[in-house]
Amino acid sequence: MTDYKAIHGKTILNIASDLDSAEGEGEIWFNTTSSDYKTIVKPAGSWATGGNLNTLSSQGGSFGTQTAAVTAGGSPSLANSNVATVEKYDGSTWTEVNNINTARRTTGGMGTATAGIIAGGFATAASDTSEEYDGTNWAEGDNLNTARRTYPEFAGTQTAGIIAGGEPARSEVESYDGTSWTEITDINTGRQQATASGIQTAALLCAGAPNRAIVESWDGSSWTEVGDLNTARQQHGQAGTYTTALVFGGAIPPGVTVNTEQYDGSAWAEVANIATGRYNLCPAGTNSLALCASGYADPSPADSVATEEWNFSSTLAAGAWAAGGDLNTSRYNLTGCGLQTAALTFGGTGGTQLTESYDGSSWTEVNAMSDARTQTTSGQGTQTAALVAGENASPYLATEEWNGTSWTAGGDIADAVAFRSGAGTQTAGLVFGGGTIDPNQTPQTSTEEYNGSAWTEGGAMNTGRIYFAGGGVQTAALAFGGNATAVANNELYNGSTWTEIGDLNTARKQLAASTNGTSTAMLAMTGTVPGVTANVEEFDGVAWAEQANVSTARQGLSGAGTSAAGLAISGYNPATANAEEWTKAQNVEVITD
Amino acid sequence: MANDIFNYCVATNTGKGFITHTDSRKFWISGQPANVWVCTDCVESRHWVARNNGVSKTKAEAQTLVTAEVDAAKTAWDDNNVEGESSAEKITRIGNKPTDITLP
Repeated sequence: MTDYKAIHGKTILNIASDLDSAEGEGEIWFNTTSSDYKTIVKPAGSWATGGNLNTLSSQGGSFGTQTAAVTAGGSPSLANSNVATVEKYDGSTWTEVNNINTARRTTGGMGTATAGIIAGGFATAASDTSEEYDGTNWAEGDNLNTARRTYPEFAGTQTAGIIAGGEPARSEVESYDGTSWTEITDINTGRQQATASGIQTAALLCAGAPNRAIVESWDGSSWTEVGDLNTARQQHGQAGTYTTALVFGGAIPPGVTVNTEQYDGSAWAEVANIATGRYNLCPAGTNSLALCASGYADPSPADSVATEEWNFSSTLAAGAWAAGGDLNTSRYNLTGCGLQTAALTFGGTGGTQLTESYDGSSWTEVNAMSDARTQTTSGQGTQTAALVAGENASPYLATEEWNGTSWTAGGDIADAVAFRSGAGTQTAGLVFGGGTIDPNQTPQTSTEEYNGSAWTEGGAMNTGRIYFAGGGVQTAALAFGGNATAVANNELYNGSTWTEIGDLNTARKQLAASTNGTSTAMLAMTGTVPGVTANVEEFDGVAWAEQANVSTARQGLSGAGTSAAGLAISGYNPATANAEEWTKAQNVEVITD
Repeated sequence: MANDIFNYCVATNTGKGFITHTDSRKFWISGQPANVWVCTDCVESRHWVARNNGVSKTKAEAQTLVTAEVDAAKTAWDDNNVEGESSAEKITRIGNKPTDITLP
């Protein structure tokens, strides 16, 4: 230590607990509890080879995930001819499956290996046709309004996606709803041989010909230029969302690049390169688990059947659950909001009017609500500014606002429902779904928006749902799972419309969300599948990933916190007063030499 | 990499497991034409060559293989023509003419 101080002019920090990833980046500290020197290891992804394709398929379209991907069509060996070949990847092996109907090249794709779509490209001329894949067969989809070739850009799913650009430097963008293509707002800079990632209402469009570095972000209504890539390129690969994306490979005419860059929502950072430079490749997957298949390896026109797999997740330490404080009154079908260290929970069976406040270690009973609310209601906001709506006394329309000390009446909602969910804040709130208050408990699709005094009707959900979970903010909220027969589907609200996005891995009902999470960082906690489960999943804006289970499986719980610091509160299996605290991975490493 | 020493080999990319995440975190690997691979020279990369039945090459031998492959690709590019096609259209169709590669 004497040497360290002599060199750096300061001693090492001595603390009883570890710094988190943000505090500890670039730091070394001594943990006085474990007697270890520690530091933060910055997560770093890496590429590894995957299974080789059976046939050459450069210039094909592609979609799916790293462990369930599809390539379709292409033009092997830069020949002036197209193939209709399709291959499906299972994470280790490619298998030839049914061909597309129209051989084509320089197309693209979006969706999953069981619900994907390709459109445009070059058949005998620029194509306006689309083909939809159901995991087995290809069926003709609606024709594009504008025929486009030479790698138009895709983002979204088979039933909610967009296509942009294409040759010659097109700026037109079209939106697909699973039935028809509709012209929407043009990109700012027309281009071809670019890529995109994300969803129908939140996409990121990157680079493109001629050798561009520019990036545009789509929020569902307009395109905005955001941070440029460090390396301009075209005919590359891309995976991820509009806030977390990976761009890899491509052409830097007349050469080829191995360069890979990762986007964090504001800037691009260089990360590990692919092993074999290539362009006109087939990308799939996410920012954490991406796939780079086929393409023209360096030098062109040598095709590659090689696949490379990107893994960022494995460099993140696993998150963990720890026991939190017990509620004073055990209950289920309750509601929660706030943060892990400043949460509020209220109502529920067994504690209908009770409100308890959490400081990160213990729960304290505070002033009760005016109305008894026995079933999961909609709660949102913070420990000092919360809002509760629904499932009180007939006519079930009264809301209440919490100011940190007491509840007072808020504006009445329009729909009388139970088991609904909510998002947002006390002054910009959102409630949605729920079941009718009758024996049928018919799932509803309605949405209502609150401005702090009055409710107005918002866009209807695509799926009526009850016993589900949701969270986020008024203009970017999620609703997932629920219903009598548990569903996995997940919807995103953008302030006016709901769009289907990545499904839960495990269909479930009577679950909870980390209600103060966001539409790109959310936990789905426990529930019924139909047995009661301890399973937890985290959403990154595109896909759900399995996380560590809670210690006590439960249903009818409430949630609070964020995807980084979540809280699972009480619930039933049978009724438990226990709360559990989730801490997302911190890449703390013990220094051993 | 300016001060790195490299090893060179010829190995066939057999797919899954050819390069693992552990490999790529331990040393730099670059795929080149003619199944030539260039790695940071270290114990782990030598083990990687052996594991994949790679045949070690000198830098000059590896460069010769790469150059021959690039030259063949250039010839193939020159011979790949469509009647009436402009040079710009050809580039759009099949990409730029391959360029020489100099191994590190």
